[in-house]
Amino acid sequence: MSFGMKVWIILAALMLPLTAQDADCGLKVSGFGTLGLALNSSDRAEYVREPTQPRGVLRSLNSSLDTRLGLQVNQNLGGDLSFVGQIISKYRFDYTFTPDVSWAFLSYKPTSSIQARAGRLGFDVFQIADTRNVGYSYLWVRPPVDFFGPLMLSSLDGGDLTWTTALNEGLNLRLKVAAGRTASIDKVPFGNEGGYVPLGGSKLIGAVAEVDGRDLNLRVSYARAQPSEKFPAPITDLQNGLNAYALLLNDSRLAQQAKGVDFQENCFRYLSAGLNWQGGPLRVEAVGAQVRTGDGPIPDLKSGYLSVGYREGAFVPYFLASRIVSDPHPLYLGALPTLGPQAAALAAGVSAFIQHQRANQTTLALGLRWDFHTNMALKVQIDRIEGRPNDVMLWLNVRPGWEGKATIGSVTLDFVF
Amino acid sequence: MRALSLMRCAPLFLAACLGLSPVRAGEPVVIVHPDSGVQSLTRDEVINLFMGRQKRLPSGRVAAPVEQAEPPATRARFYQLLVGKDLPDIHAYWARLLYSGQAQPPRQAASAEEVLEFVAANKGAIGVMDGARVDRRVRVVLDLGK
Repeated sequence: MSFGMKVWIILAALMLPLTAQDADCGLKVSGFGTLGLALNSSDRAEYVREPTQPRGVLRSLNSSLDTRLGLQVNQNLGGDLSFVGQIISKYRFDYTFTPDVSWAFLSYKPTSSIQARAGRLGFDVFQIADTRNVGYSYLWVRPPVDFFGPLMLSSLDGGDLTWTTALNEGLNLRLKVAAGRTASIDKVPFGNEGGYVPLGGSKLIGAVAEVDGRDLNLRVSYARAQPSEKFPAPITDLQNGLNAYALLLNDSRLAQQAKGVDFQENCFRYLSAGLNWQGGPLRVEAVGAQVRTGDGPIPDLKSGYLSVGYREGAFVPYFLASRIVSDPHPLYLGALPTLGPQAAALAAGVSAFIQHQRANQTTLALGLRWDFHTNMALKVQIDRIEGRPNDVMLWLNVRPGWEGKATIGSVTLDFVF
Repeated sequence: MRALSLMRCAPLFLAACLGLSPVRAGEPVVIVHPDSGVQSLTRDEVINLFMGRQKRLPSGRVAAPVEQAEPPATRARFYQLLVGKDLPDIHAYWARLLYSGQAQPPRQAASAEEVLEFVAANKGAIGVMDGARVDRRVRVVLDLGK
């Protein structure tokens, strides 16, 4: 058992008896979790839920893909002030379940229409982005990977301001602006065991406009993130190589290309629009998003999903379709591939790197959610994924023979307490 | 549908015969403290308060919503009448609001008596309970069964 797991078990043991509300001191401890099992029909590429996972699913039962546990503390500080803290344990970049602090913020609500929050908070760049770890809150075994896969930012160190007003009876308009830096907990595994690309520290600003009705929710959001970190050594080596050849060949376009490979030269802009309708037993969710990068070779992305479910007593059968498309910016390598083995190797390295930033695939899924007990749901889901085998952004450790097609079977037990 | 409406009318008829309060037995009602400054609430106002969208009563007081959790049928009937949703959907909805740090779900009271006691003791309280168990300590501001 790792140190992280031990810390986690002690924390859970300490906090579980507190899982209740105490009216007098305004403290409430609660939690959520998922136990999951998944299986991939292919042994040529590892299926991951998010790029922060260091290992994915192959042809043997995998329990780290969806399993996670969260604990939350809500403390009323009197009057209009409150504190929310949350820690989440899930499979992360260093192959452990070491918990990270996902929220720790103060909320101030001086009137019924204004709320200000400051600290470490979630930012819902996309619909449900800030509750993607709470399986119990959505229909599926996991949020659509085609949609959330590229969205690695989960927490923000900064503040947000929300203004709510009633448009008319039963229809509310909510506007939110947020600013800060992405929290340091988001790390993408890279290279050797335990190595990673940090995603923290990026300057982020964003805004959300949302209309809430009894059955309908419509939202539009925008965010931009400016990375502050450099890529790690193997990628900066590619960049240095490109720069050296650009100088040697006096090729300004190649120099431009080298610049575009830099993380810091790419400002990521996220635009998203979504609809959620739940009237009677029928529920429909449709969301589309666009991620734009810089002028360099790192591609733009477009993605979306459509989910339809129908409640029949304790059961909700559902259908989910999702798709992601990369809009590749042309990759210019000049005379590089013809200049001998060293230059050709560099060209191949750059191409491979860019290929890892691309995703082109469609997923069709069928599933069933069973609310068999208060605050517990059991789900089964089958995903069929078909995509371009060379565009491997959403896959790990792709082996020869990968054809871009896989079927994923999953079972999860979601709970809140 | 006909059978259902007959069934809904039966307790009313019974109550009328027995000379009891006009509130139908078994149907959930929304109650407040007599000194809350609230005389009545619309269905949309109650939706906003119980679905975490509004945190103050129309009188300006910070609202403290409380629900009768037992038997679950009372709550289930309340949310079916209020927003046409089943309890698992309401629980999933609250999981999203709670764990994104936006709002906290209503306090759960174990019995009708507990709801009455809490509402009678707090001027900001707003409760949901079995209409047949309401007494003079509180004021009914919305009868959804009507």
